[in-house]
Amino acid sequence: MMLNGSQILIQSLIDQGVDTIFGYPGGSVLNIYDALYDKKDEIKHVLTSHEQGAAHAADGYARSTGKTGVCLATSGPGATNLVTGIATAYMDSVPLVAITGNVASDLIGRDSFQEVDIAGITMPITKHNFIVHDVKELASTVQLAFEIANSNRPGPVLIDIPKDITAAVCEYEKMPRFEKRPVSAPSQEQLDQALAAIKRAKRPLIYAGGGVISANACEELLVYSKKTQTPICCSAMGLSSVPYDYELYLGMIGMHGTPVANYATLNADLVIAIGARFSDRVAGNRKKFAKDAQIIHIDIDASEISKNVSCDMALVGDAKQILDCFNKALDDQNHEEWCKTLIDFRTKIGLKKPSEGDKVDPRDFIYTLHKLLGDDAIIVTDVGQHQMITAQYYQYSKPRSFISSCGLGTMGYGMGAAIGVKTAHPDRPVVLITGDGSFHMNMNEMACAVSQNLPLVVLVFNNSVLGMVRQWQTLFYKKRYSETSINRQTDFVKLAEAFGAKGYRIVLRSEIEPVMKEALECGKPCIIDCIIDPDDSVYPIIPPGKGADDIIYGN
Amino acid sequence: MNQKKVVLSLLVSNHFGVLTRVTNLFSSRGYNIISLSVGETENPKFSRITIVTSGDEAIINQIKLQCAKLEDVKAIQEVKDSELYMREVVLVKVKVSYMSEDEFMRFVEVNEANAYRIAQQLYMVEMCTGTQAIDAFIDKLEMFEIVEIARTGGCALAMSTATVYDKQ
Repeated sequence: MMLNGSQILIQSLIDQGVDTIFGYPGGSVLNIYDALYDKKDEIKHVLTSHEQGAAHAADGYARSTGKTGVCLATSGPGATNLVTGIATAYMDSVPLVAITGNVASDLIGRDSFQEVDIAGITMPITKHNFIVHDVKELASTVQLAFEIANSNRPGPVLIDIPKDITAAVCEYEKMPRFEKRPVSAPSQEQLDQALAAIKRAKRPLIYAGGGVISANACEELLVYSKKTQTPICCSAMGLSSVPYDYELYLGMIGMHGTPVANYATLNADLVIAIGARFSDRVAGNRKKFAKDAQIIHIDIDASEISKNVSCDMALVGDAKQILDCFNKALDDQNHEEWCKTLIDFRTKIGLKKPSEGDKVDPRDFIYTLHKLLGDDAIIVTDVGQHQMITAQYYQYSKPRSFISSCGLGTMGYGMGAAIGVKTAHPDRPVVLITGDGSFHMNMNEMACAVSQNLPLVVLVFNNSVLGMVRQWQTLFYKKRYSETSINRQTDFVKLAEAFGAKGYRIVLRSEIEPVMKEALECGKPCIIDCIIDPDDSVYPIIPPGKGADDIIYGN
Repeated sequence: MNQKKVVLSLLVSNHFGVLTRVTNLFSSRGYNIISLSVGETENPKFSRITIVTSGDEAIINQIKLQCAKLEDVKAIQEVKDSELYMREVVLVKVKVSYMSEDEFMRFVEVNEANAYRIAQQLYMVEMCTGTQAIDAFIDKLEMFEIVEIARTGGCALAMSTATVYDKQ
């Protein structure tokens, strides 16, 4: 069958299992959009307000489903607008295929209108990228892009297609659906060594990261933990891998982690890191992190081994397979005393209790939110204090229910991501928890949520300041509040209405339940402007560069 | 930790942009490149990049593992010191005013280099040998007037049965 490059592209996406893409048209992708017009029934296109929103939406779609997110943008500014979204996906290992049009081959290198070297620009923030020079290579390039994005440690791949390639015609040969590349596995000797260390350990601790979720290893993790009586803490990326009410779940580890999770790292004699990368937000001081413990590092990416914190044993491979192998090889273990020590500590020093009084404490709000939403909801966040408070206090029940830019820390991520999540899960409640700083960055995507008829709830914790930066100014910069009192005069209720959404305001604690109930039932996108105290701070905090024993509880 | 100098041999896809991907990785992660050379191999599908780099053991290990993740990098070999056979080429254009042509040519020959006369008192000197010998030879040439120097990075193979194709 003879097809042009645009038809081949769309058909190849369908062949690779894509049913939804997020994008924005433009000059260099006119042919692609023309081909899309014929395939509207097979592939849904979500038109965002801005290409950044499309990239974040594809990312949110991918994180919440485990499938590959796909975004499409035109050349030049369209392509550069994707960059923050691609970098966000790269840092958090999200499988993403970004497709950009480029100017025609004979215009490349001439500083043509809307020309940019997007392959050059995205080189350090993609697993790989392609410029398609020949229409005959297009279908195989699409297949390879999906293979790379999903194999081993997932991540973004970009395909740049000059406009003449989207028009060129050739014989189309259907490529089979991509297959993930085989994964390396640790040797029996390495496994035996790790098992021996596990059997020796008196005070073991699991530090679970995002890799547990992307390996679909949450069930195996829980089985392991129960079988060996090993408590679990999670990095921010690992949140939602363990149900909140599991007795040996200690919560988040690191800078804003729970007191007990950080206490556990100081006292453990064995730390098993699974799909985690010891980032500076977890191991502020790389030399001091769990220095009295042996460390077993399980990761699919060999280059993560001893990158930040040197480990004693490395198991490079698939977390699900390795945990399964542990579960088969090990007898039940008993660490009652260690678990009791931790549970007692947790009872004595927990996270800060929500404050009393009429004013809204976001912590209390987040507890209430879980009560109202149940276990099925997906929580998306932006970046800042609201993100950390959500990470600390929301009670996650199912994997992939916490969607947040943890590595790059992209303010403005949430609105696009929430659109992607809600598009993928129309029947599940989706709540974006954001701040007035982050929301101002990409609130244009409310327009998309309204036109796509996506009933998502945007909860803005509005303190009129850039809370997290201000908190650091309080703690480390002698309260010199340089440019963090943003004091916008935006009326979020009117703004919601202007977008064609519903707007609500919450000032008092007593308003939380009735307003939230109404918002969740209204069936429309809505913004809730929730006024909170500008001086509220996120605690505990381990100051940057410090170790778990330098923790400041703040209560 | 002890810094060591290491010679890495990378087998990479032979198409444009690959060198950029490799050097980009070094600069974005703050790794050092002492010298680099690249050329086609016996198989026109592949090029070989020889990189001389330095760092402590952990960094060297990271460099190898990060390079291995690049889609275009097919194989990596760390050429052991004891098996290292490495050559560089240097071209030096030099002005010789106080030595006759014969005398200069003899000087060059004694130093195991070659020279060609370009114009009166102006010579192209070429040498292909190890890094230190080239450094020493350039020092000697300082007694004349060096007009310009072009120098390649090292290219290396293991003086053993080991190849880049071996499973690392």
